[in-house]
Amino acid sequence: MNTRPGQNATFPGQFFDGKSAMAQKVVVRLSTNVIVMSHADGEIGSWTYKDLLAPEPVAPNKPTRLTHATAPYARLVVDAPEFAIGIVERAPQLSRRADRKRTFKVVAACFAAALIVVGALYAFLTIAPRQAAFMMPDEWRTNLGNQVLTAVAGSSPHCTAEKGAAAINQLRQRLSHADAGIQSVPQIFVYDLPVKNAFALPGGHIVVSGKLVREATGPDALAGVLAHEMGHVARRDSETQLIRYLGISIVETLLFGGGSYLSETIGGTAGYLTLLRYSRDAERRADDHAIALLRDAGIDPAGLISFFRQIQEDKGGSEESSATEETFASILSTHPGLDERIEVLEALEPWETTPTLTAQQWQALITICSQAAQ
Amino acid sequence: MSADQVSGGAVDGEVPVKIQYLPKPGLGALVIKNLFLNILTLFIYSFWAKTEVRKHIWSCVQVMDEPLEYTGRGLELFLGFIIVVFVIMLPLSALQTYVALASEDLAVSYLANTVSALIILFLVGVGTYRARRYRLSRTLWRGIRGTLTGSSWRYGAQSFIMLILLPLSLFWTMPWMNVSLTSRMTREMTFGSRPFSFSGGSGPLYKPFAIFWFGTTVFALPFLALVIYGLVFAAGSALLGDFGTDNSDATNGTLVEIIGAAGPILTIALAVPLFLFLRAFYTAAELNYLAACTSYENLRFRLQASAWSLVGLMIVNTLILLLSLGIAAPFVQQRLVRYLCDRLTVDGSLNVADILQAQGEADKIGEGIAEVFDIDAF
Repeated sequence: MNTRPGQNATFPGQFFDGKSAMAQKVVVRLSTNVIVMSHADGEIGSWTYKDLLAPEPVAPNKPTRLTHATAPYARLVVDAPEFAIGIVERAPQLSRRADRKRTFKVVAACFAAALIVVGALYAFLTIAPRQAAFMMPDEWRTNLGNQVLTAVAGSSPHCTAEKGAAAINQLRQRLSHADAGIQSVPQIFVYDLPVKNAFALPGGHIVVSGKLVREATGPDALAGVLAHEMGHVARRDSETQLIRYLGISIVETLLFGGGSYLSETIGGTAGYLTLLRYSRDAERRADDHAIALLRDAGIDPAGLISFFRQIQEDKGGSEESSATEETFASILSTHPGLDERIEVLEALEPWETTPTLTAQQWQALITICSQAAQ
Repeated sequence: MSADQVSGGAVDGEVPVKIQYLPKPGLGALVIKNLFLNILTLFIYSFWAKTEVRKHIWSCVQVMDEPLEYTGRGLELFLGFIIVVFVIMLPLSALQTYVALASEDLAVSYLANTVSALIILFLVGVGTYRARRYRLSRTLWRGIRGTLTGSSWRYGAQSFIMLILLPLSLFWTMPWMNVSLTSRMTREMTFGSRPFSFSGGSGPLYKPFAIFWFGTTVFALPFLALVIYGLVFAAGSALLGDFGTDNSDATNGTLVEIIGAAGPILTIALAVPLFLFLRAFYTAAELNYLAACTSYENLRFRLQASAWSLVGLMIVNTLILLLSLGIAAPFVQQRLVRYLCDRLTVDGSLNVADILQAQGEADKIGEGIAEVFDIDAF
């Protein structure tokens, strides 16, 4: 057992004065308020207990190393278990327990900081991007839209067959007339992309893939899709999403270093579509917008319903997959909750409709890419 | 050290220097504690965690039976990181974002990105130097600290130019680069009041480098060619499988497939170890040479690193990192320090009374740039 040292107990030690690398052999005495160090030539100094510091917590099973607030580079080393016990009694700040308390304080502060960071990031990535999307100069939106268009459709053929373009122009004019709050009539670009999809570009234009046009059940379906994308345009969903992505990449750069660049990361159609996974809420609002447009334009929503059904079938027997899988798939998909969205459309009171396009116009429209293919 | 030489209280005179790594228990517990606290605080605690690990590893290094002491604080590393984020990274990101949004020309975007990449390349050198300076100022032995007295900007500029030249010279400037940078840093380094010195050019390293370079080029490239050859023929045989109707060619097809499959396996089995060994061979030569060029007072340093031991060190360290998902990194650091201590011999003797405390202010904050770019293992 280690014994407690009494008053004025002395121990051999080694002293480094912090001024030179010389070692001095000393005798250390535990006095009332101070620890006194002396060698053959006499006393060389005394340190008050309350200002003692230990580079590592003092414990009986290892040499005790001490320093003092008034001499931060000086070191006293005493290799005696009794000394360790005695010094911790007189200077409790040197103990393991005091060290643990200091660690706890640091951890608590870090934890609080983590909460603040999470809160700030949440605001920075959820609320701020939409605000910024509406504050952004139109010129910036157009630039961004052009960059995205280059990255997404750069190498795919642009479908511009004359009669088809005229038909799609008629569609967009009809929908735009029905849109009371519209800022500018969107341009609609048809590209022969390898996917069946349509998306809004920053700056307010819309890209539709030739595959979607060809496989759509009819002009009403295509009108429904366009009306939906005009909903994303009105709410500036694509700008918001891109700004959010930029925000995330900035945070990423700050935390992990290096850089990731917009144009590289968009990296073609698939990349951009991944980026544009809107929330369910954004999709629902775009649907609401589409319904209002279709109603005012007198277009049958059955077309959009049939389009949604088609997407469901394309996904391939989602009925047979497990419920969990389906939920998972719908969360991941660009257009979540198709069943729910079909239900909303089916529950609508019918309205008076007029045909969207003539049979010839539709025929021209679905061959809009044939020229590009040749 | 003998206590018989004592007069007054002084212990040492002119004495030989021995450096040892004496491992202490507790690193494993520290690693687990740090992991837990890091998760709890979303890794904000990591600056304090890193400090604890350094304290542990430093204290295992014994110079003349007296341990090194690391006196850095987590808060200093944290503040260094924050300052670099706000002064360097945020403005750079803002610039890139602004250019991406406001420019019509993609070329302008790429230019802005290239410029920021070059700025970062320059800052890597600056950060390396500053990190070393911080660590030296927080490393005590017998209460005496180290310093680095030169300009981090000048070091950054030298390292920047040399890094640009490296690929342009097909890596032949590597020995010159490493010797020049180490020489500059060593000559600007002091322990207490006394400077380190470095003498020697990169000439002697060119023989091992040539073996490394030609070995890699002559032996590794054919293996690479074999892979490409294999892949091309595998693709060819796949096409034959689809369109070829002549079944008499089957044997040939099988042979081609075997080559196709064997190519990549052969490469991994032969070229990768060969490259690692050649690299370790050069690294060992370089480390030993750099140590031999270094001196402090009357002390000369002799390092006995060898290619095989370096390969072993590297393989085990990689396995530790992979299997622990990086969590056991402190053990890797410990193994590196231990490797160097075990193989380092110090010749000559030192009059410790000559070494006085370093003058000048020590850094107030720690290694922000190195922290942001994750420059080295510690």
